[in-house]
Amino acid sequence: MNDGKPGARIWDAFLTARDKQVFATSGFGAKAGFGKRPALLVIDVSYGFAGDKREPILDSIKRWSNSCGAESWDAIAAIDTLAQAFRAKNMPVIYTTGQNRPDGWDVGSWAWKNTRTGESLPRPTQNLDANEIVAEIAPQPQDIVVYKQKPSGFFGSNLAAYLTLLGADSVIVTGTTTSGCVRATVIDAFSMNYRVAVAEEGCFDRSQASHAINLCDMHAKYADVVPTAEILDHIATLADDLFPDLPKGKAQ
Amino acid sequence: MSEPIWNQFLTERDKAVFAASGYGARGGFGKRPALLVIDVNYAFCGDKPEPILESIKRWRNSCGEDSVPAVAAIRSLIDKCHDKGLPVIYTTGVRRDDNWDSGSWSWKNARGGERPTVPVSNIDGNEIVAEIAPAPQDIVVLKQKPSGFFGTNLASYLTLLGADSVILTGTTTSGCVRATVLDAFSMNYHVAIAEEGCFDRSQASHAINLCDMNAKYADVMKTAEVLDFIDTLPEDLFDLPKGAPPKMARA
Repeated sequence: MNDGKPGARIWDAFLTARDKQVFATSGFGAKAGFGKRPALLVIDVSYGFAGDKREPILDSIKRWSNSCGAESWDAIAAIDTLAQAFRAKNMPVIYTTGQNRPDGWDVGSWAWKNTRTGESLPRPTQNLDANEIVAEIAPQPQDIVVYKQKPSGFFGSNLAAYLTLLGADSVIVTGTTTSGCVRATVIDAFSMNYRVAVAEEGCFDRSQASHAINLCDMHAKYADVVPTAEILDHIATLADDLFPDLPKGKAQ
Repeated sequence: MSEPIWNQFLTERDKAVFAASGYGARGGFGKRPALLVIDVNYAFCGDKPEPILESIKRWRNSCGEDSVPAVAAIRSLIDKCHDKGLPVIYTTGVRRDDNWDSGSWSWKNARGGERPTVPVSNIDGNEIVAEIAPAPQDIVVLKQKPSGFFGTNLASYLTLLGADSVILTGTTTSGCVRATVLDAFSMNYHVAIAEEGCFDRSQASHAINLCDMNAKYADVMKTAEVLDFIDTLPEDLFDLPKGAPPKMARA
């Protein structure tokens, strides 16, 4: 990738030698740069994807079929740092999480490809709702929660309308899974001509190869995949009155 | 499925996770499929078969000679769909001459300013390659972003046709094929991918994106299996266009 950044990227270990040559010469992976009015997106960081406690993924998925295991909780700490920085600057923090009918009718295409899909519906044996955002980064009153049924945060939701309402020109994406809902949301944001950055440590996935290669694909074509620290430095340069019309956080 | 192409790129833990988490079940074909041929144009194939590192010198988006067997596989699927009267829908790009509407594409590629038309040839990069040129009854959808659904009439055409499923081919596996598969999945279409009919500039991206799609969104299948399935369908399923549309009508 020709972003001028020295040092290895997480995806290098998964690319073939030819892939590295192709990416180096085809012009992909340029730095798009941050926008001027970013919103933070926190995609699907719920108990369904993190499990109810830090444990190795192969243990966690016994009870939570979508769990990404221990890596989830490292990413949650990075997301918390970003969310606090955004709130300190009065900038929008937008969460997504899933929502389905109790009878599962609207699960639709999800049920076709996963033999354990029924487990993501509320079950009396689970102590927590799989769609509840984990308490460590629970939405604050001024934050925005978008409910969705499909991978992209934009699909069938009001997310695009909210970004227009806020006057956002860019999104900084975190959450899970890197290869699933993060990737899908990034593609739609790209297609709508938002500037997109992905906070690398704030993303996680159940598959190590999928995590690395999806970061590679997104960095090549759709988004700047950057360290969380670089995003925090950028946020520190922004004024704290960019978004005077955030939700007030209480009923009118 | 024999050893899938993506296994060589997965970690041992990944294989255990995929096996335990329930992903990768067979979604199954629909009853009324449309064939989608994503972006198989000269910009992504180059104007002749040559190794990718040669081809991308002139065609920055080229996937090189991996496009050759893929185009042959797509040809066999198109012929079968034509025989059965099934819809064949192509996508390719469209852009203003001044490139204003390239938008976010130009932000991530240092060669984004290169025009699709290479000065040394008269070939339009967005023209679908001659080997699989659209027939009169086929449908061409012009798009500007990765998904064939984004900013286009593709979804309304599928509704008009009464299609309940799509069979995906084309390029790049990790780019426009993937984005189109995602939107089709989100719209609750049954999705199959003809593996040999897809190609990409990156070998790792090709393999892992097939893995991701097969895990969650689509059945990644051998072309022969797709052909066998189409053989089982009746011939009078669809009211197709009568033919002779404007060649590149704006979608």
